[in-house]
Amino acid sequence: MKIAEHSRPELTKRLASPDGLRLEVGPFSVRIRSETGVFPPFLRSLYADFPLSSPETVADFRIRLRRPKTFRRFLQPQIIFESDGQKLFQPFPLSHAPPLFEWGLNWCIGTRAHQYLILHAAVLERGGRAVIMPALPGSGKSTLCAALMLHGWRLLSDEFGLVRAEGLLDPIPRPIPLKNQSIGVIRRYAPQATLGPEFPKTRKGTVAHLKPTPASVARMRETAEPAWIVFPRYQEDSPARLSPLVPSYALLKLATNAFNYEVLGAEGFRRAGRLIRRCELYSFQYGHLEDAMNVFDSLPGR
Amino acid sequence: MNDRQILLRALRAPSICRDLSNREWESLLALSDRARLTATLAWRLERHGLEDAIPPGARRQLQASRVFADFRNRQILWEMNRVQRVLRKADFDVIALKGGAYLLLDLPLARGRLPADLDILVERKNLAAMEDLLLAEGWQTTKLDDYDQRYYREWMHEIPPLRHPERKVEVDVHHALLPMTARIQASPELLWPSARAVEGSRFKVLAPEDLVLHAVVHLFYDSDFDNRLRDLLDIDELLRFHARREEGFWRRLSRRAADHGLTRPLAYALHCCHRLLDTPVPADARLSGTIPPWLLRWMTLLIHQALPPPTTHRFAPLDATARWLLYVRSHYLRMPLRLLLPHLAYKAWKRN
Amino acid sequence: MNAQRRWRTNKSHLLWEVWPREAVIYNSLSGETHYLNHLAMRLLQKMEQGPISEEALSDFIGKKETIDDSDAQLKQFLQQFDQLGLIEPAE
Repeated sequence: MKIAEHSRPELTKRLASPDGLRLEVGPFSVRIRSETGVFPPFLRSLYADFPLSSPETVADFRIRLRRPKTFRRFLQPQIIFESDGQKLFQPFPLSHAPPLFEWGLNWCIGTRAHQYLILHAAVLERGGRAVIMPALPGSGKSTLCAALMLHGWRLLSDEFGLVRAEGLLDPIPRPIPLKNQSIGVIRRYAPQATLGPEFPKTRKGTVAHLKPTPASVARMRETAEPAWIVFPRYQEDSPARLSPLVPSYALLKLATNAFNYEVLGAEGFRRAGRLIRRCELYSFQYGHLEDAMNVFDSLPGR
Repeated sequence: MNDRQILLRALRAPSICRDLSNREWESLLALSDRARLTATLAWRLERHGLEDAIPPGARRQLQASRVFADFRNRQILWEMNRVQRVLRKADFDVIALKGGAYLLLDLPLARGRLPADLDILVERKNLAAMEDLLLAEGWQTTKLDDYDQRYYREWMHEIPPLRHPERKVEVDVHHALLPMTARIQASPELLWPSARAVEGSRFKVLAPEDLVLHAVVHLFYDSDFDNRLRDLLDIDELLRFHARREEGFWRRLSRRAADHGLTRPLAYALHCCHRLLDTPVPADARLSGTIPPWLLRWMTLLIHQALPPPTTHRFAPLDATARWLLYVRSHYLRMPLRLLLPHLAYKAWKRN
Repeated sequence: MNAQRRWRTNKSHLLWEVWPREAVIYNSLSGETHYLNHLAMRLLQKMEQGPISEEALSDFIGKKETIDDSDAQLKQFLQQFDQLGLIEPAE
């Protein structure tokens, strides 16, 4: 059963129970306990199409959003993120429970899921072929990723390229966190898109989450074959320009930008190397989303 | 099943994992993660042919933990490679201790361990030369204040830890297995003649009995009490491994302990391993006659309580007490009392 | 330069991704990844074939490449390779 098929009080009750709620997020099962009223509405609207895992699964991550037991709770209410009973970060203001959950789950995946080579990249698919967009500073990756998804591409992930041993990509189509100006850009680009509430003054400024398209979530068990690696760079008002990239450079950039390349060792090098060899490699400069969509509609492939 | 002891039970008798519910698997993995023993658990399950009994979610986590353990072992081996490079300029012997030795010997227990530091042993007369060689090749003294510097140099069995700025592994250079001020002394001069060469390496390793005794020393004399279960497992694995391969191992072990003056700690350790981990220690090798039975029981209880990592949700005063007693005890054995009290007071003050 | 000194790579520890004029290698001992330009790539490939003296290496690049002060460059490469744990003295 999907999240949206449960009423808000039902979700709230589940989340507060000792066993919590078991959410299926791509290849992972996440057990969530939460005592705050801020979280269930967020979960219900932005994870609407995600299924609950069977109660018989062993959760990959065991997470709890908890109010700290200090006198501060009366002054300025706070929330902490726990994984397996261990507090991971400094407390957030209570109202920021949703971004804390998203950030904490990212942390859990990036530091633990070493069955994958975990690229720091956005991944989308169309016609059975996936494009990987590594996240480099100033790339505008999330904005571009959001626009492509709203343009009909299937979202695999805005944050993680999960590279399996045989080289295929596993989806994890969670909500896309849009920051600052990107929020307005996407609202204008697609007024029909569902965005969550805005959270001002987070570490990264104002953040609002874009709901993944139902088609992306419905196909989150379907792996995708990598076909392109595109390093985007946003430059105000620049015409869209796609240029081929030297493989050695792409390999080093991709590897150093991954979350666990070092941890995987030789296996990380092999997976990254094979990925470079099977993909077309480009750098892409753009200034307008509409131009970018046109370029991506006709990405030259083999 | 009692959540708190589930990790110990699974390590002792991995076949119980066939009957775990998904909730119990989750408790087990949460505890093993906190004790940093998930990869060790993964290897034990594999050795017992239990892979098929592991549900998919748990299997993914166990697999990932092994990848991470390999990474940490690679870092230690690389640090050894770098120290070995420096030793081109030296003509004295160096012994790799603990995790480094287990890796060199390719012992089964090395695979899932998560060693944090590289511990090496040199003779006291070569200590300064070793330190100078490392400092000349870029290793640096990790940040310590004057008090800590003095603590290490005057009272401890090692120089302050060194680290190369490009890498993450600390190198601890020891000249004895126990601090100079400890009441009981393992004799460093006994270690060298029986140390063994390792093919293809510049490092030597301790003889099997000394490997065990060093792990025993670590169980009782180190002040970091979050990883006692790790130490007990080391002893368990070393005993199982060597008892099977070395003729007359148990006899030599007890004789060696007597030579070092470590009979008592060895007796505690053998008793604990046998009771808590089902280690096959022959009855006549347990040295039961050397310690009053009530003391043996008391120590075992203390260790049993201190073993599992603390659970955050349940306040367990007995754990805290057990940990504190063992902590004081380890320092008591480490330093004469007149030195101990100011040190503990200083550490407590520093923590606030 | 010490003409007679011999070097070797530890072959089983290097993984290669090779293109016509450059390569990226992974040193599975150090866990580090390195970019090699054409000359560095040729030198390391030569040493992978077996222990070789500095003199022979100097002849090798002298023949194949037209570069100024090739011995000084060779010395620098060897020093760097040794520091990175890519090569070691062959006894």
